[in-house]
Amino acid sequence: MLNYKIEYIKFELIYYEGLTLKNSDILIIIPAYNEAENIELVVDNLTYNYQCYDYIVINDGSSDNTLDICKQNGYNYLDLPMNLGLAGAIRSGFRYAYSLGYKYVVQIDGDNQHDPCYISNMLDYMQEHNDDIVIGSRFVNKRKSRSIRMFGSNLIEVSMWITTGKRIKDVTSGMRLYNARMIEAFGYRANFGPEPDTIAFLINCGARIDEIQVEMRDRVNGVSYLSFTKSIKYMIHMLYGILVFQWLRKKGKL
Amino acid sequence: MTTLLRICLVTLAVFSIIFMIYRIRGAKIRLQDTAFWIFTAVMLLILGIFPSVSFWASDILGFQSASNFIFFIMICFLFEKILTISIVQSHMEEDYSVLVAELALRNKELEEKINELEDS
Repeated sequence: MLNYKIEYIKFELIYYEGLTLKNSDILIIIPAYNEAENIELVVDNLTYNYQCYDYIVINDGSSDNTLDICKQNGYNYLDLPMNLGLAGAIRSGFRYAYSLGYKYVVQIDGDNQHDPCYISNMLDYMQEHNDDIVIGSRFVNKRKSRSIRMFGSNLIEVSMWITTGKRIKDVTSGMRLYNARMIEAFGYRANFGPEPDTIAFLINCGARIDEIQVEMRDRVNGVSYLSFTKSIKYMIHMLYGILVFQWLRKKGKL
Repeated sequence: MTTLLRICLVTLAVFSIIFMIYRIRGAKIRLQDTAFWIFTAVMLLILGIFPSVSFWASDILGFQSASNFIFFIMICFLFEKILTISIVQSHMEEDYSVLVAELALRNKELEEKINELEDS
């Protein structure tokens, strides 16, 4: 009964009010965990300057008032009832994209580090080179600075190079563009987190993955998702995933 | 350490590795949950193939025989696994009750909205 009512109201909204959920072929997924200070910056920039793209904010069970801000400003959002972590949040975004039939998905962070002006470049590059994933990378033309963080990044880069034969400079970048078949894979398959180990596995499955240079801003408000112990855990997880786990998985067609 | 124990260890290790690979290929298990079993199986394999490792370790740790050391190791592994499973299970039960409550709340909210729209 409830379903029937919802369908009816949806029908009325779409046909009489001209309201649709989907206005574009490109969806921007913005995972947000406790990003109350930043989310307005990110989404307002998108709604004023980039109306050609659709977006969805995924509130990953934030404990601050991220959800209230989304509600008050009338943003398009999904509210996860509890914290799933980045992989789970992104996954719900991909499922949303798949259910509405989007052709491309862009993943950007909710902390205003990524500038949406590079999306059109990434899209052009993807169409030109027939890529499955295009990564917005900080280090295509620029060298990495020397720090523990970059050491970790290098370690992952080298292990990916050994196992796939491809060098991806900024493996941990959170700005990525996916095409339609990746949307299905990331939304519905097991062990497809938006992380380097999946990228390595996909390269070995024959997916085309490239990266282009983008500039990223530094985080202004709030703290990063990764603390020290979490970083160590993340590194172990990634190295195990790239060096051991991917060989045990079934390489299917995508 | 008898040959039979060594054969048992190697068979156990090989079977658990094969079973794990089977589960992974069927995409029925998460990456995080495989590491423990792969690691344990490799340990058992090493202990089964090279008995000198367990002789050396039992000398250092003061076990009366190498097989005692192996039993001790296995008990440790199982203890760790039960501990983590118990913690995870407790988390899951908590999450489950929160989820059910959330679902009921959101359903209620939805119904109210629909009634409002219908009345207007």
